[in-house]
Amino acid sequence: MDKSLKSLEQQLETLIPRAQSMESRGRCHELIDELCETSAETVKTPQNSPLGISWLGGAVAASVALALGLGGGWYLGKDQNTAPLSNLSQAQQIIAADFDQLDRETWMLGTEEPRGVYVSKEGQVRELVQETEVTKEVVQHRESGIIVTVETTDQHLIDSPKTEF
Amino acid sequence: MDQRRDKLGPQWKTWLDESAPRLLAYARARCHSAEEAEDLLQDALIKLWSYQEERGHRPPDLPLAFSVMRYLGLDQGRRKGRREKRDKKIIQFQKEEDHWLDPTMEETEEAEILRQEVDALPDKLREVLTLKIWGGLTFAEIGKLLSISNNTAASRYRYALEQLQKKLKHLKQTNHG
Repeated sequence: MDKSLKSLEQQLETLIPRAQSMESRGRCHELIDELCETSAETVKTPQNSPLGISWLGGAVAASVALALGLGGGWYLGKDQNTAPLSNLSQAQQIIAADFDQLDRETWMLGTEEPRGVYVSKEGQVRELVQETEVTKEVVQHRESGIIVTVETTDQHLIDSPKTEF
Repeated sequence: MDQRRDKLGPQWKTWLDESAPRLLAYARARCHSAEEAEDLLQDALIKLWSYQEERGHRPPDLPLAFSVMRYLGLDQGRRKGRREKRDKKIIQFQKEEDHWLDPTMEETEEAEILRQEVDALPDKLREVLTLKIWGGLTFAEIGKLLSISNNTAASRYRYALEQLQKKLKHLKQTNHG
């Protein structure tokens, strides 16, 4: 940066942002007192996810939180010396509150895996097949704007009569 | 718990007294009036408090505070029709009594012109300039906050300075010519 820009920069630094009004300062101080009181009195109860994101129920939530934390741009874990989030439900609340769901779709994979044939008590020949359901969700972290695509798979065991006999 | 609470209140109040002018300067670029900016600061305080729960409610780092202010500002802007507000804001910033930079702190004509020219900068340039000069953030922190690269943040900052310099030169020439 040349000298004239440096000097302009110094000139700008001499301009001081207007201070907070006394009224607003007083309101903020009252608010801080209230927040301190509330946190001392309130026993936190788990809340439902406002987004209803399906992947929050699983271990995927923890891995997404970890990925975001490592990826930067999310400050929740910054400079944290203490242990990470103590339980998954807390993590779910924090994560869900900070994300907007942009898209969600679910489909079944075309391949079915046979898991065996058996004869029921009623004498009916039945077949067990495993189907795979895939859910893809696109969520955006509100503050950083980071968009994350989460893909989860659920295995369903389908029990049906075997009709080929 | 009471001891911790007695400690936290003063910690947050000190943090607020130190950080409020910087955060308000940034908020003013996104709000219609000084009052709205101060309301935004209060909203941010609540959100930051809940964010800091996992860290024993200690006062937050400044980049996180800016990040929350930005998000709340965007949200508020969306709700109220940001474009309309922005037009009004530019007019309003010309009034000295409602300026976000303190006019009582400097009296030179050049300082007065500078304040006006900073306001007249395009939003993107002014945002980076505000965060760098008055927010005290690094380009890396600004980049992270605005979801742009460090280089883009640095370029916008430089471009803002160049634009200001050009305008100041032009004004000086006009005045002396």
